[in-house]
Amino acid sequence: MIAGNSPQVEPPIGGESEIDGDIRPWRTGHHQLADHMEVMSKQKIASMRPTNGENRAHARDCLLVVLGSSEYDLDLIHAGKRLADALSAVWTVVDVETSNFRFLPDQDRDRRLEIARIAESLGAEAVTLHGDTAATTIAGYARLRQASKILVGSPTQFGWHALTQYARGAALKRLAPGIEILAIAPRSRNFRAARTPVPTRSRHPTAHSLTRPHQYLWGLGITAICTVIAWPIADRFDLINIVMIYLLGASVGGLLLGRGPSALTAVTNILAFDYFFVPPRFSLLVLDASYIVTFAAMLLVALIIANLMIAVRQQTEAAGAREHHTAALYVIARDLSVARDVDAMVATAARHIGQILQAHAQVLLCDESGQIVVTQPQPTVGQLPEVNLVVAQWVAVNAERAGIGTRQFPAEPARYLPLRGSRATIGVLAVERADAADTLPSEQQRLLEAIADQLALALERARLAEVAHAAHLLAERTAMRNTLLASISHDLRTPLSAIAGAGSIVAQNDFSLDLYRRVTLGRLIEDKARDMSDLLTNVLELVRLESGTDVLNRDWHALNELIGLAISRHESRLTGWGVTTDLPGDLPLLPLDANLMVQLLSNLLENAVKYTPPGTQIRISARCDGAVVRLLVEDTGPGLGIDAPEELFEKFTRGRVEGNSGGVGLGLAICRAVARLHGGNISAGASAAGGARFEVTIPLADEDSTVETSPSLA
Amino acid sequence: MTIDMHLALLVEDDRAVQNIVRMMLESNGFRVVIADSCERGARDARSQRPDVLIVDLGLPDQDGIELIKSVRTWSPAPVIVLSARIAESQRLAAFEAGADDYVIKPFSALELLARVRAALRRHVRGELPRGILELGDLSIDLSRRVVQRRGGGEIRLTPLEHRILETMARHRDRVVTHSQLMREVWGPNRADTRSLRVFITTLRKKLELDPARPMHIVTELGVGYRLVADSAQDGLGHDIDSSD
Repeated sequence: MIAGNSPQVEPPIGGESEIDGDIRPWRTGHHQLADHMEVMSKQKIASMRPTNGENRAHARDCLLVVLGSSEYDLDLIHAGKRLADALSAVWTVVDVETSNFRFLPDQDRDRRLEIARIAESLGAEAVTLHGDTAATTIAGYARLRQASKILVGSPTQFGWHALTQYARGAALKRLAPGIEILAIAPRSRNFRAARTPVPTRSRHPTAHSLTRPHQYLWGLGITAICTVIAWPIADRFDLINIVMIYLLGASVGGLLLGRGPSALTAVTNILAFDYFFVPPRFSLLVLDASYIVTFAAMLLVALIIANLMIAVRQQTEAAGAREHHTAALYVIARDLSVARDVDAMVATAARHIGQILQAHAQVLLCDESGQIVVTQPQPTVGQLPEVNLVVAQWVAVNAERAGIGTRQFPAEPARYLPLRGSRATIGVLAVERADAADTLPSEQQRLLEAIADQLALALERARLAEVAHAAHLLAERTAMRNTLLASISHDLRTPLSAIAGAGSIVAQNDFSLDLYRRVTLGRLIEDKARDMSDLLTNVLELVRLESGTDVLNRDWHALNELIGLAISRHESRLTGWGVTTDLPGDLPLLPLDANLMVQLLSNLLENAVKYTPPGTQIRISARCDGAVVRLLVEDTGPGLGIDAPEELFEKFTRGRVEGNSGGVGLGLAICRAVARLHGGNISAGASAAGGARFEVTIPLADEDSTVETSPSLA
Repeated sequence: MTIDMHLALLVEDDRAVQNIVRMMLESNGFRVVIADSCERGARDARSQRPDVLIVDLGLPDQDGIELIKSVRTWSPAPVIVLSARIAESQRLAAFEAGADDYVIKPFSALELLARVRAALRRHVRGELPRGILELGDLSIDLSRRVVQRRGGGEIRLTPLEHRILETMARHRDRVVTHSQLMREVWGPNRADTRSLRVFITTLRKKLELDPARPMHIVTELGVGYRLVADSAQDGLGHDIDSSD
């Protein structure tokens, strides 16, 4: 495991308490966190996920752990875990994002996200709440979840931060009556180190956290404008109106500018007011002491208004950002839900990630054993990230992020996120930004993780659907096989017993058989054996056809040739039946599987022989009809004698169930399978002469299917 | 008939089939040698010089196709495959290895006998007399490209039709596979079964009495075509067609 890319040598860290150095560089603290992660990730899979599932099943105590300052959060989480285990309670780690959150230094926010992730890995549910103040938000959430206990950090040293924590604790007690508030003090002071020298290096400043110098100029400008406006009216109006103009200017400053420039405006406003308007004019001197009060009030009001304005603006911006985030997720969720299969889902996610983050994304799926399966490249926007399969496999096994911006394999140009399913890692999402040097701001990181979660959910759903479908198919196939076996074994035994009987008679010397009888028995044996062979052919053919893929061996064939073959194949059986054909000479060639087509025609002819008396006329005709060729097999026999002819094409269905007409009822099922494989169909009905009529439709090939006989041949 | 009795070599490992084929052939004036493996078949073929070979494909030591290939390297004797394999590709492989005919198990004794006799007849026949092919009441002069119907007029063939007919006539009574036909008519790289079918259809219209049920240009499904010449012309005297 790679702990980080920092060249500095880390002291061995066994736990929080072993090192007593009071000040450690910030990075060390960060690394300690990494060690926590390592230890925890090992417990994680064993301990947490199952309990998590169990817990949700029953109504149990709910424990909220409120993350406050990064100083104590790890201790808090550990305490929360111990307490939750002891109480066998559900525990939720709550991070409150007030509007100020967006303006925290990035490291701080990263740490909080990281801690939430650790909590999740320990079995907690991590939620981020948005609200004005931490206390009301937490109290509201606690009531919603019917939490019985809230864990908060307890400060160990005095200071501004401690004060806010006390204040929050007190507010919570007031707002959430009946809920135990437990304050946990940290076990060691080492974590101070994590906070002390926070470098104010902001990797990804949001637009407003950095106040640019020209904003200060604007601040001064506002004062100037106010002065210019106030100048001409100063002589005619009371000074109090001038004050109003300056206050107006200060509020405009608050609306448009950052905190610093607004404060500057407030101060310069007073100075300008004093200098230009308060007697003695053009001097900073103030004769009337009561103006001091005016100045103080002006300053206070200006600052308050500016602050309010800024707060409003920040909240609007935060809400806008959240909305953007939510909208993006919503669109992805919607697209994923309509994606039909795994491939489509993967493509959808890759496309969205590409659009939102200006990054190339690729999804690597795991098989059942957790091995990455390398598939063909998926369609994505732009080129694919260069996926390091070793890293991807590591991510799949450890279900942890890796790559750039993380602690694992930070030198990789891409970022790897595990797609966690409920039981195992489903796959790995690899994302590489177009500009490799550009790291992701934390909002986008969170968005990316949310997308990964969505994708994981969708993929899991798709996989479960596949499994269910496969199970369904298997059950269907088993049922069909059983019917088939039962039916076949009956239909094989019948001719077998005839053959065995006939054979034994022929073999007996005692029975003085005359020539005629011996020939009859021989014929019987041959016929029955042939029936069995036909049956077997049909069964095998049907199994092959139903196996689905790639069974057609198409080539261009003339229908009349195949009809001729089918008739000649049954020449001997057809003696006694009159077969006529009516085929136009200009029938186009069709892309057919000749064997299957002959089989279809044979089955129809055989049917006619089986179900009509000798002397019946069988007529085979074909004609072009728009985009299809209609092939008719009609007879003058007694007809189908069945109300719903469609049923004839089901397996194991025979027309008139009388006597032993041979066959298992597979013939027409095969006909239908063949017709459908060719994109056509088959239907049954009554012929004009009252007999049976089978109509097969076969679509003509699309474009240049009709091959004209070349002029030289005509 | 110059030899008293034809010698048939049956390469087949199933005892029952051996007995039936032997019984059938011996009662019809053949002498029969039986081998139960490819190796023995090859040895017996060399030592006994049979007039016809009947070969099963699923043999214990090797595929029968290998035997056919090795026999074809030195002997023109007709080979009839007797197999339970029904797939087109398997039949095609047998024909391409040099088999003359293919009988699918379960077979009728009469049919097998007819095929054996037909194969022997073809083997004996040799060159076309004066380059004239007789098909039923048609007499086709291959050198002059003229088809004459007995008691009727002339039928003209286009050059390509003529080449197809000529190719099939050279291998008459034997199966010409699609690829072989296309290769010999169009050259190596211009395979197009679609135009081949068109030409066969027009040929049938010109030559057959009932083009829907051709008697002369017979389709071997999935394999190729066979030109069935009128058998009354040749010296064996038995008029046997595969259909009876």
